[in-house]
Formats: sequence, C-alpha cells, structure tokens
Amino acid sequence: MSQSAWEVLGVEETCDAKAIRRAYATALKRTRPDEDAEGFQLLTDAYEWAQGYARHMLAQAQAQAAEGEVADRLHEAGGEGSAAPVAARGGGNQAQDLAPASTGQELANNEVASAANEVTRAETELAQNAQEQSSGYSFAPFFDELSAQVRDRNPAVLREWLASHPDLYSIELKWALMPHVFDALAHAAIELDPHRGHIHALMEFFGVDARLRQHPSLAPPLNYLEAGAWRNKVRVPEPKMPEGWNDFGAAFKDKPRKNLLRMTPFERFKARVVEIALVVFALAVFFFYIAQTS
Amino acid sequence: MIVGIDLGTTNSLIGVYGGSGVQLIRNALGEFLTPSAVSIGDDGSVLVGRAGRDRLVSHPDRSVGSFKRWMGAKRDTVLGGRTYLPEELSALVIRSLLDDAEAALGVRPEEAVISVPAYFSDSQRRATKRAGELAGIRVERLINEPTAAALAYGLAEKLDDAYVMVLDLGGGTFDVSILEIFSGVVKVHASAGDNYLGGDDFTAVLETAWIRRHGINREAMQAGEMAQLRRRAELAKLALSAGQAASLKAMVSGREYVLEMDEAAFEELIAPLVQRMRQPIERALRDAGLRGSDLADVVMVGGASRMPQLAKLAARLLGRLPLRHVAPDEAVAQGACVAAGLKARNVALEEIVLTDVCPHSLGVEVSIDIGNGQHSAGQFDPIIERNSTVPVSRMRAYYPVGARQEQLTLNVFQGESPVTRNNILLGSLNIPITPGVPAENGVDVRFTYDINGVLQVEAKVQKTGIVRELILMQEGSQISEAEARQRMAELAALKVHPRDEQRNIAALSRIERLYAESLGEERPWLQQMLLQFQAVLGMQDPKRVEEHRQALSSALDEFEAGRPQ
Repeated sequence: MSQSAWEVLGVEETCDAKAIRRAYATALKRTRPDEDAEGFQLLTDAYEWAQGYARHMLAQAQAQAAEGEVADRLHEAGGEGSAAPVAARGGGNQAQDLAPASTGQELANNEVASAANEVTRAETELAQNAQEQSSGYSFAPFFDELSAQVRDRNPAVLREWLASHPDLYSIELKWALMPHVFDALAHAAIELDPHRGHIHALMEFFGVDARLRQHPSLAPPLNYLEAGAWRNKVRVPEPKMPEGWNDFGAAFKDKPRKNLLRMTPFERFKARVVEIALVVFALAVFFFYIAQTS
Repeated sequence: MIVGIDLGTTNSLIGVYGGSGVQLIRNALGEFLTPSAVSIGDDGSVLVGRAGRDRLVSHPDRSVGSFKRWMGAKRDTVLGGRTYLPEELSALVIRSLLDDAEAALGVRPEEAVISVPAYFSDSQRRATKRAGELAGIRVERLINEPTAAALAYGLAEKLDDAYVMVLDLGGGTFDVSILEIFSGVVKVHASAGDNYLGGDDFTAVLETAWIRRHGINREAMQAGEMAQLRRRAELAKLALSAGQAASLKAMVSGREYVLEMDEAAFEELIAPLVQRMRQPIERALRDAGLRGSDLADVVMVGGASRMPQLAKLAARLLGRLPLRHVAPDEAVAQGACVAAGLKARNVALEEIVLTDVCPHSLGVEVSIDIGNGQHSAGQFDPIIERNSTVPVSRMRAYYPVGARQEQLTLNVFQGESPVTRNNILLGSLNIPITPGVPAENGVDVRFTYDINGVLQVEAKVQKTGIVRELILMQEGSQISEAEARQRMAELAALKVHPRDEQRNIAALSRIERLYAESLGEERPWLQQMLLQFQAVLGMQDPKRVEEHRQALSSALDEFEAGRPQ
C-alpha cells in the first residue's frame, strides 16, 4: 500500500501550512497515538513531510518574488496572511540549491525527504541569522575580545568567559554568531594558534553536536581547526599528492625517515648505564643525608 | 476509575478527571500536597507525608525523602530493619495517595496515569511503573511532566495555534519542553532536560557553603544535625529567593555556627547551577527549529520555579518577557488528571489529542569504514533520532564487517555523543549469521519506541529469517516476577495508621521535629506540649482530641513564626 502524503492526510496538494495542520488535526482524531501506533506514525511522517514541502515551496516562491521588488512586497503581504509562522521561519532565501521534492512522492521516501527538509530549514535559519547579525551586532569588537581570550592559552578561562559573556545569553544572537566565530577563528588560526582545548570549549559552549558538526557552513572551518593544519605551515588543507614531490613524485623518491624510537644495542646499553648511575647517586645522597642527621 | 498521580521528588499529588474537569484530592490532613517522605514508626507502621517529613529531622535513621532521584538504580535503603528499593518507597507514597482517593471517591481506583520527568530514561520509567504495581494499581500510561503541565495550561487558557515553552524546575529534575497547540492537538516538538538538577541542589549549595565557611567535617556530622541543617538551608533559600538577606544557623556538637548571606552572594553561589539550565533550553529551541519570538508563552512550573533566577535566565536567553507562572505545584498533577481523563475516553476530552516525543537518541554501535580497509569502531549510529514523535518504529539494515563473521553483536545505546563510550549502554544482543559476502548478509534492526517511552529492539537476519528480540537488561534493580509478588505482599502487610488518627500523628511528629530542632529553654515547653497532647490522646475522646489538637497547632504555628530564622 503506497499512498502519497496528501492521500494520507486527506487533503489536496497545497503550500498552505495552516490547511495541512488542520487536515492533520482532523485525521489525528481518528488515528490516535495510543490506539493505532502504525497509522499514527504514517500520518505523522506524512504531516512532517508535507510541512517541509510547504516550507520549501514558500521559500522558493519568495526567492523568485524577490527578483521583482514591487511584486515582492505584495507577495509578502499575502504570504503573511496565509501562513504566518512558517513564513516567519523560512524567511531566508537560500534554499535554491536543494532539488524541489517531487509532488507525487511516495511515503517510502518520506524519511529522506524530511531529513532534507531539516537541512533546508537549518540552512535558511543560519542564512537568515547571518543577515540579522550583519545588520545589528558588531562582530569585530567581540572577536577581538575572543582573540585575547584565546591568546591567554587557557581553555578553562575561555569557558568561563563565554559562559558569563552578557551578549551571548541571547540564544538568537549566539546562534547567529556561531558560524562567524568558527570561520573567523579558522582564518586567524595562524596568528592565534588556538589549541584543541579552546576549540572544544567553543564547540561545547555553542552546542555543536554530531549533526551540527556536519553542517556545510560549519564543517570546513571545524575540520581545519581540529586538524591544526596551520602548525604544519599549510594555509589551506589541500589534498595530498600520492607520493613524494608534486609532479616529480615518481622520479624522486622521498628519503626514508629514520625511526627515532628504535635504538641500537649500544644506545640501549648507554641508556641503562645512565639510569643505574642516577639511581646509585640518588641512594648515595640519601644515605649521606641519613648519616648526617643521625 | 483512572486517577492521575504526580509523583514528585518533594511532593506528590493525586486527582481525577471528573464531570466538572480536573479535581485534585486532599489528603487526610486536608492538603493537596503530600510530601514524598517515608518514615517507619517505632511500632513498625508506615508514616507517609508530612509526618514522614517531620521525622526526617527527629528520626533520621528511620526516615527517608527525595528517593525519586534513585529510581531505576539498585540502591537499598534500610529503615527499621528492612531494606527498601526506591520503587518500594515510591509505592508506599502511591498507596497513601490511593487511600486518600478512596476516602474521597468512595471506590479504590484500579488504574493510574503517573507523571515522570521528560528526561527519565527507560529504566527509570520501568521503575516508576513497577512502583505503581507494587502499590496495587495498574499503570499503563506514563506522561511526561512538562507535557502534563502544558496540557493543563493549554486547555485552561484555550490556546490555539500557539507555541508554548514549559520550564519545569522541580525538587530534583529540570525539564524543558516546547509544544504546539492547534485545533485540539497538543503536539510536543522537543524535550530536553537535566535529571540531576533541581531545587534540592540549590539547597545543597547553601549547605556546602555553610560547611566550608566553618571548616566542618561533613562525615562527622550526625544524621539529626544534617537534617536540621538541610531544613534551615531550605528556609534560607526561600528567604533569599524572595529577595531578602538570610542567615543560616545550625548546630554541630552543641555549638551554633552562622552563615550570613545576601542576594548577591547567593547568586554567585548558584551561578554554576544556573549555567547548567542554559543548555537544555537552547537545545529544545534548536531542535524545535524555533526562535524566542515564535513562542506565544513561556510557562514555568514546579516548586523551584519560584526562584527569580530561573525567570531572569529565561528572559535573558529568549529575549522576551511574558513569563507565566501557573499554580507551580499543581500544574503537573492537573495535567496528569487530564491524561487520565484522555485514557478513560472522557467525553469532554473527545477533541483532544496529545502527541509526545522521545527525548533521547537511540541507536546501535557500529564500525565505520574509513577507507584503506580500515574501520573505526565504537561509533554511534542513531536509529531513532531525539525528539521524534512517538510512538515511532524505525528500521535500518546493518552488515557484518568481515566475510567469515559468524555472529553480529548489537549494542544498543542511548545518548547524543557520536562515540558510544560517552553514551549509555542499554543492552546487547548476539545474532548468529552465516558467513558470506558482507554486503549480502544484512540484518534488519527495528527499534520501536512506544507511547510510554519503552523501547523494544528486534533484529531479523535477511537471509535466514531468524528473529531475535532484545529484552533490555537494566543496570539498575531488576526484580523477578515472583520476587515482585513477594515484595508486594510484604508492603501490603506493613501497617498504616487509620485515617482519623493521621492528623494526631502528624501533630506529634511536628512537636518531635521542633524539639529536635530547638535548644535550651524552648525544649521543656515543647516537652510539656507533647506530654499534654499524649495525655489527651490517652483519654480516647475524639471531640476533646480535636479541640486540643487545633489549639496545639495554632500554638505551634505561633512558636515557629516567632522563632528567629
């Protein structure tokens, strides 16, 4: 039995989030979560997919409308009337890079689709936050303060400073700042040389979890920062060549490196002698001290 | 008859959803709140509620409180020569609540909906269910506390098309939930929380400050002194929360030590605890994909939410003010009653549907191929992502690493870290497979998370069709069926005082507590009161006892009010 999400919800295909919500509410009263677990899951998956679809279509429509300025204003006025909460959230217009979900999508694909919707939502949010941030908060002085903290070279102090920073209490501002902080830190890494502790303190404070870590706007700076690539005098992490020198790799083999850990028998003997000598010396001092005091 | 029970860390409540809506039930002392404290009397009888809490001070070795924190853990408490599991102590509280309900309704309820913190784990939920069963009541449904609070609030305010954030700071747990209410549907979008953060921790901070200031050895303090300190710290906390300076005075081996504290110093002391409340609020908001301005209301429930610091923090985090306090102690119980009404299919609630989420990510341990034929073991692969709407059932296929592998070990974890060693192991399952090409040798793993927050794991080998089901073993207390029945019989055999005597016992316990707390010239007076009351009780004349008790209560009220804190 493969039904489309719209059939499960019992509503015509629509971009109106409110209509979808109403349909879901009506259907829920027949399919209660405590009675029909399977039907409920099917319904909820359909609902979440449909909401994501509506959000996506709306964002796309807005992006198109933004091309004509006059048309844009008119559309926004209309859009707010029909689906205010979603419009407010999906207000960004960075969703074009995602393929539009096909309308007759089968429920089997819903999980994937809803995951994609999640990404869309997160992306539009980040983009939107970035816009707001550039208009309101001045980033440079904040980052200067942060740099001073990082130069202090003590993650515990940094953690405390972050926790008590008055500006960062606002969740909205904190999220808006997050991508910029990691980006700016990656760019200033050579000068500041933040170590692992600093980066982890920042990640912990900003709540970067496994899913967020993979976010397209966070992953590159974080990969760079976590690898500590600037310590090897590499500005940008570049793909490594297969062997030796760039194009002449095959012609000039790298000199085999000496294993510093492997010692010759004589070296081992020397080390042991020094060890024993030190112990004997220490004992001598100890007994000398005992003899002196008694 | 289905009742709703709020089984709290400090206080518990019971109620029903009747014809006229939610109806909370008073206990024998005429109060809605029954303190979650249990004491075993000298004659082996069980004292629950106010008497139990008072006896924490006067008889610390025979009394216990705040045991909700140990739910799901194997922790024995010895009271009067018998060991009790945390769920048995909870069962005693539930039984006392059921007695109250029976007295008020005329029939003994046979089923209950019990509220639990949203962030309670699987074993803690099972322990709560078991507590109900040990008390002789059927528990088919558990409801998350913030969801319950929002349910009560949303229905009372008749909200529609609105997002609500509920901050629930109870005695021992902190929960954050974000809900959407539309056309009779109460849909939870996200839950987050901290199971070990509550009002008790703020009291403990004051205690520790007092101990540090005077360099006292905590281990050397006697149980009675400790209980007295705790009570004084509790009172000091209340005063400080109301914005007054307070002095914490307590006795150790006959000497009184004082800690003066004003609001600023208190805020500095509790700063680390306040910091811990930031993360759950942020996570819930992020998981719900909302911003502070999208929320129609921020509702604060739980006894400890009266502390102004929580409101201040929430306002700073969300950048908005309208914070609502709704009868902080009763909101959860009211919601539990509504849930009981829903369960009983009450006609007044026909149009209401409640959907909840699972607060944790649940998944298995996998090895990830990182190229060059190498594998990184110990990675966490979530099957049910946190904040999925429940009931939910998801399936994923897993493949063996090697071709000659003869069995697949499935370790089931709960948590948010990408590496399993930071997550909680729930159980493991061995599945026999026939050696062969790994890509053709898949095992379908299905996770089913039901409406009560109980997880079921099923694995099916694609080739052979062998099905293995995981019975989740718990690190906590696991008691067998027979043992449970025996314990239930034992609990039922414990004596409880008749209802009409409970007021007298509460009054006696109160005098004893005050006696233990006071010093010098106050003591003879209290002893006098105690002897007089006992003499009146000895006369067996209910009317005179009643009169005397009332006079005594007002005298004790005066005494307590007049005593400098």
